Amino acid sequence: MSSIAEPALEFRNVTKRYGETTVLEDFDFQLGAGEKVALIGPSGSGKSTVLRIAMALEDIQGGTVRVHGIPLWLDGVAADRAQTRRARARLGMVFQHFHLFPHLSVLENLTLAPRLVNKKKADEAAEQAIALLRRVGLEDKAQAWPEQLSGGQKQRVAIARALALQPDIMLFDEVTSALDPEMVGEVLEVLRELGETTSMSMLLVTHEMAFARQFADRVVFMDGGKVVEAGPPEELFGNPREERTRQFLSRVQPM
Amino acid sequence: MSWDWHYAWSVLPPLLRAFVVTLEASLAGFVLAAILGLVWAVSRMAPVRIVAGTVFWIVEFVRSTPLLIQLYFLYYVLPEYGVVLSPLAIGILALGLHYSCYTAEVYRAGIEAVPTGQWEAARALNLTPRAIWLRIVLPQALPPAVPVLGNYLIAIFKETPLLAAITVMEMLQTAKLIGAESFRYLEPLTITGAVFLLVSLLASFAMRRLEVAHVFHR
Ligand SMILES: Nc1ncnc2c1ncn2[C@@H]1O[C@H](COP(=O)(O)OP(=O)(O)O)[C@@H](O)[C@H]1O
Ligand SMILES: [Mg+2]
Repeated sequence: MSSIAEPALEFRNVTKRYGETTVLEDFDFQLGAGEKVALIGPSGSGKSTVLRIAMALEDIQGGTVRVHGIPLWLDGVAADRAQTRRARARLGMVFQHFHLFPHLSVLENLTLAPRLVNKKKADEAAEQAIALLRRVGLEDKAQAWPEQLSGGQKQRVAIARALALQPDIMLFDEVTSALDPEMVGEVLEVLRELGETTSMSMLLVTHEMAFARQFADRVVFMDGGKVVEAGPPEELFGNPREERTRQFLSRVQPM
Repeated sequence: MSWDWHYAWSVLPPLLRAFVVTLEASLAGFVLAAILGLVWAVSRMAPVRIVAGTVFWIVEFVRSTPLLIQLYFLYYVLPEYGVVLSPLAIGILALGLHYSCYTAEVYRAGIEAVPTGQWEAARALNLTPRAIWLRIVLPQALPPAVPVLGNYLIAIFKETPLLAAITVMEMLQTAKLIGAESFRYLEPLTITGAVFLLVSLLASFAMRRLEVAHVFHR
């Protein structure tokens, strides 16, 4: 069933409602294997919801969602728990507010899931964790507590924690929005390095348009729970076809 | 009738032996309340509606009926179903069950104080529900609950005289029997009250120290 051309993520006709509020309606989206996509759009347009559905953190009311061909939802019917776990194992997610585990050291934040989920030995997990911390420039913080870190450091630890399970797809939900401006750069630098040196598929929700432009293979603009326009960054930013895209861009990026 | 030191001295040993029973009942009742309460609190959040609903009503029911009735109920009704336990065991069971419905609330507050982001991050890391509870949620929810649980230990201790109603030889029951034998109630009852006062004060003091230590932890 799986083939090389198979997308990393596939949303087809997805409907998502919270009670009476419809957040996504007939939503279609694909993330190609190895593709880096920036998902942009006004606040409340459903960007986080897309990521949370992919991570199986949300139920949907209709449609199909596949992760590397593994159905999470097939025509509105949820996969069983084992299959959901198998799909989720392909994904890593980084949240706006980090959500580090405050009762665990930085090292334990990184080793917990590999040990429990991937049954890694403690020393093996620690070794890998140190390598990841080195990669995000924080190997000296292995023994620190999360509360001792700055926002930028917390977010870099959160990225390393997600990478520790060796996912094929990374989801980033406004990972710099909660940071003080002087810390945005260090986190974007980690993202840039990841994008350039790995073949992971990445879906990045961001308000950093300049970064999206250089980082992404493709930019997707969504509004009101629908994809309004998608294309290569030069086209979407340089020459948007849709009026709504133009309006949004003129608001977020000063000319 | 004036205070008789000689008599007071002579009734002290049996009263202190009974105090050991009081302590046993308090501690065992508390341990049971602490464990059962956690079971209630976690099951109330079970994804299965029937489990969560059933537990909700058990807790509401037990909390809304007096401990004394529950004591009598277990004491007289359990044997009819072939469950024969010592009065002390029944007392411990009743105290544990009754107070578990209060400790459940304490745990619930602790669990609800753990931000939803912690659950989501744990799920995103593919941890199993069991691992999420044991490794992420409870380690954060339990430490703030400890001082409040301590207050329930003191409350349970002060409730143990109720066990006299089902013939448990704790302090009050012993004091009553001594008084009935010698027709002098003043000394045994005063000593009993004084022991409760002393232990409660000491325990409250210790609890406050624990709370302070908790606040300054890390
Ligand atoms: N738990 C929730 N309950 C009700 N409505 C929600 C919930 N989460 C999100 N929404 C609504 O869904 C819409 C999309 O939210 P979201 O995906 O977070 O948007 P974005 O990430 O693009 O800002 C918003 O209108 C928001 O109010
Ligand atoms: Mg969002």
